[in-house]
Amino acid sequence: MASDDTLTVAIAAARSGKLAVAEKLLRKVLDDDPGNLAAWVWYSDVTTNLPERIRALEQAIALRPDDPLLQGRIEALRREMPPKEPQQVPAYTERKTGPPTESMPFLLQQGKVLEDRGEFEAAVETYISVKTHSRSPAERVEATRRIEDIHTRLEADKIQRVHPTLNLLRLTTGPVLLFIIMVLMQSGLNPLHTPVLSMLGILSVAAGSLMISVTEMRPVHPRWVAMFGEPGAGDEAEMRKGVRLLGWALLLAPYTMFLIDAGQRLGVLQASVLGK
Amino acid sequence: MMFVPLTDTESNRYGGPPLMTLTLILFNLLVFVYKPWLWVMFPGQLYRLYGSVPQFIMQEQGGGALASLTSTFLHADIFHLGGNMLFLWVFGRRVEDACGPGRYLVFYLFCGLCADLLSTLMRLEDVVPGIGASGAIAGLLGAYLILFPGGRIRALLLLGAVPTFPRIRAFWFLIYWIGMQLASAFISVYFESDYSVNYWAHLGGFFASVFVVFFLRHESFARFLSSEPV
Repeated sequence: MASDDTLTVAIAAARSGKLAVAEKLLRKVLDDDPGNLAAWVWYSDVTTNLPERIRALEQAIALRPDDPLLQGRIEALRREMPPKEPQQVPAYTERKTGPPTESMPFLLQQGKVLEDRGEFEAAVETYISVKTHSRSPAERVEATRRIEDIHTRLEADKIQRVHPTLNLLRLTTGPVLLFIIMVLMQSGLNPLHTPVLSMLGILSVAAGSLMISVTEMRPVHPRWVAMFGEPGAGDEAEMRKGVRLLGWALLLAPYTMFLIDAGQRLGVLQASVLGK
Repeated sequence: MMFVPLTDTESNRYGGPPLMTLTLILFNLLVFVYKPWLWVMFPGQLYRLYGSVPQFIMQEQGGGALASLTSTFLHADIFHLGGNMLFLWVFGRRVEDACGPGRYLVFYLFCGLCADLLSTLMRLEDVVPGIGASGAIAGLLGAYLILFPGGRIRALLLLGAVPTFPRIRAFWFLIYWIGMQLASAFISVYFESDYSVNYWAHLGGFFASVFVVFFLRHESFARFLSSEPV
């Protein structure tokens, strides 16, 4: 297998969590080609030994001295290094066991929350932090995978960001359209025959639909945050429940009154055609 | 040669099983099963009362919009029901996935009413009741065409007596379908023919589908705006 193929397989193994396999393959690549920058960077990600991670990054920096990302990562790792450790760095072929790991699952979770809220840039920052600081190889690989996922979603999909207010108005409109056409049918397709109560019903449906839509917005509408705070903060959850209940009441009341009226009209026709 | 769409070959992107589509199919089946009993309750008048009669709507008699809604759940016979439910299943599943079940139901009823609106406008004095879900389902066909122009369906194609099951682009089938509806509708007006299929209702429902953007989920709307597969 050529060196490039081996590297590809090693990266795939690292992404699927097979870190020991990835490490072994990367060593083989580096034995064959010590000038392979990508292999040194990936090796620093998959190996569990902190001094060896630093050493791998030093090799990478030697190949690309001006890379600020590599500089930042090595600085972060050096800060975690006990003072005497640099003299005890073993070569990877002589390595025995890695140092105790420091897990950072809370940062991964925070990244996921940010992703759910659509704050992708902040999520990527958080995952980079996990990649740089976590001593758990599994977490570093997970962080790498998530960063790539986000890039894939944002770049490959090229999904436009829709303004929250546009979404809010859009979602409010659906039930209103249904009610308007019902009112039109009920008044013999003549808008001038529409009772005032039905006109008020349209306004009520619009208000109710708006309230329901604003409580269902994900991510939360900025105006809502300005008025009631971040989701889960203080009375926000109670307020959300209250607004949603009021919204449903305003939405359903006109529909109910409308159906009662239509039912009565149907009863009159039924009595006349059935002779009851 | 006979051509029948059987199922959409693409999978859902957002949700799980299409519960609302299945519920609508089940409800239509139940109404059909209980129809003999309804005939006994309203002897000879079931369709006049719960179907959509243009003259009643224009004279503000009867259930009006309510009758328009109930008419979408009434079917004349098993073939009428079977054909409509097959189309509802084939084209409704992924539209429900793109909208979410609640908004999908509102959209379905909205298309049914729009179908009835155009049908009423085109036969103002008619006393023949209109029944069937085809107007509402035509709205789903239009929405499918808008949202999934690259979608593919598995169809039954009978070449003589030989059945084949090709996988074809829904786009071509829907273009053919709407073309047939348009032609039939205008022929029915031009020759003043007495037709049993309400083509104007199909067209009304189909064109109401442009409003589907008001019923889409956030994600599917964003993808739609970005010209990405919904």
